[in-house]
Amino acid sequence: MNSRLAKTAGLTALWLLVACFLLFPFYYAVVSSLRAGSEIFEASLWPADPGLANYRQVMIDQPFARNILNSLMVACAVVVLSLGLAVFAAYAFGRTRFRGRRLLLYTILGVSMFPQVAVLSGLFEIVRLFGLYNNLLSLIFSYMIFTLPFTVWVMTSFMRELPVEIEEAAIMDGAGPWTIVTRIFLPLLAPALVTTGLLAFIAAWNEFLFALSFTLTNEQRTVPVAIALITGASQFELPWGNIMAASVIVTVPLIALVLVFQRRLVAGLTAGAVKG
Amino acid sequence: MTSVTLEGIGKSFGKTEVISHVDLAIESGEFVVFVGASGSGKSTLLRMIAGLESPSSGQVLIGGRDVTAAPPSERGVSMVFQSYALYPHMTVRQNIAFGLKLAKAGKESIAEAVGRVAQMLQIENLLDRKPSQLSGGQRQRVAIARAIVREPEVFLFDEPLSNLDAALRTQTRMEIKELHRSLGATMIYVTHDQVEAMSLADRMVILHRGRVEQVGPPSELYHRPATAYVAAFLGSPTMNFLSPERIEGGEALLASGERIALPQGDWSKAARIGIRPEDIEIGQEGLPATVEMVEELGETRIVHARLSDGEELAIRSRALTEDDRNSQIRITFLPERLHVFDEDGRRLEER
Repeated sequence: MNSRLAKTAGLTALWLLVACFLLFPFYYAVVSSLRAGSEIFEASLWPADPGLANYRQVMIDQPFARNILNSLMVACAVVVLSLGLAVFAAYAFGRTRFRGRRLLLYTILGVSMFPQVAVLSGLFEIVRLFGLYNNLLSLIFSYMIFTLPFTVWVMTSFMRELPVEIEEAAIMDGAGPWTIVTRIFLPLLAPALVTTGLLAFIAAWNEFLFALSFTLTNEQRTVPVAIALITGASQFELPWGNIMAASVIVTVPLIALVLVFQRRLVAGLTAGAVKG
Repeated sequence: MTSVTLEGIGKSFGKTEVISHVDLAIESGEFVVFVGASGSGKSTLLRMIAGLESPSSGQVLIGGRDVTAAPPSERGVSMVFQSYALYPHMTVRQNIAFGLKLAKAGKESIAEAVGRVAQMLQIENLLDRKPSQLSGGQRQRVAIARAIVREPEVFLFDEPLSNLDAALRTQTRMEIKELHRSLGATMIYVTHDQVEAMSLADRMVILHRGRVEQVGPPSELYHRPATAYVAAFLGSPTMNFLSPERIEGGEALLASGERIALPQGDWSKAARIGIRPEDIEIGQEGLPATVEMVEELGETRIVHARLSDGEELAIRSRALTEDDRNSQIRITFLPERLHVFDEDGRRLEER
């Protein structure tokens, strides 16, 4: 009885330790964002005089609301486009046989192996060619380079696991490929869509290098770039309070998303892990 | 009511020939069962009738119309799958209505049709459930309801009962037979279970390595098998086979020197003689044999006996019990129940 109690206590302590380790940086960012002025350089765990001045400042100094909206638009567009393309690509890869299928599948995977810096200059030329410089469309276009390979791969492995007989039953019922994908497969793939969609969203939301290179004005920037370019009154001052406030603002939506989709996320991750 | 005709159907996957030149005429309203061991091509044949697989050669005719190139939905057929293949995200009602919706039927006529088949299969109380909330037997009923609702002219069943437990299987079997009687539609049914096949079929088609071994009513196949394969495939325990040394004056001479009387006929080509376990009589005279084992089956017993030349025989008899092990018995074969096959396994007819 006693040993069981000790075991429970020990486990709880361990979990608390892990939780502290993982959550402390975020906690410290929140606390710092609430501090005013030079208090930011004190190492206490709780601000002496918590206030929202930094948050107000961040919104006033630059078009931060506009930056958030940009990020949101880009990330959502990337998610919708890459999931839409991935589902139909997965139907082709997972359910039909054609010459060069494996080669094509590995080519798609190969695309994701190039580091961003390697494709940056070439991509920049393409962006200029299409006249998309300093335009959010350039970001949507370039982010698909890294979201599509993994959405296609994950969706393909999910698609392969769906029983063939369900598809055949739909064919017997008179369904064509479009109906099969949209009315039968799409609902069955919902957990996978949520998982991959969320991962694509986070990737697009956090992306920095392309966003920095393809935008020029403050109005077209996404949040990671906007935060990095926050400047103080003089060049010798880094406004840590503002930066922390901005960081908290952009992290909260991600945490909220993950919490909302938590259960489906885990289901999707494990379901995909078994095979593929 | 529609007939189904297969003309010279062949199917190869790459270099492997799965079906080779099958000709078959299924009459309107007939219940035909394809039976065969796994790999015999019975499912492939059914899928070619359904249109899920296209034949490498030959033609499929449904109701006299050549549908070889037609998609499944234009063939007037519907299919019940082994795994039921219900749409997991739809309710039972939506599952049944899906095909009608795609065919753009009116809301009221869909509701009416769904209600009618649900009543027919006694699943009215399940209409708003999801497939995951149903038992195996209930799922099977929903799958059948989904097949019926579009009023097809031909029903295809691909081993629909093999996922059910034994008691439910027997019951559902009778229901399918009853369904055939009330709908009067043509039904083609695939199974590897010979009891299921015999109980359901108007005619059975026995397939072996992509070829049709024999087509006929169950009793004919059982009592007059055209080949040794069919003879061995049907019946449990399986038919006993003896290989005589030679044929002499209407009698078969065994290696042991014993003689078996044959019916009237020309047996010069006889290579194997078959006799079913229930056609062997244990008595005072005949071939000597040693009892090796007795299986109790309740309504009967299976006696495993060994002839003096080492051949083993199964005999269906209530005369012996487990206590008779190692005892000597004498057995006779009823001459008119003997099946004689030639070198290639073809049946030789008596005169």
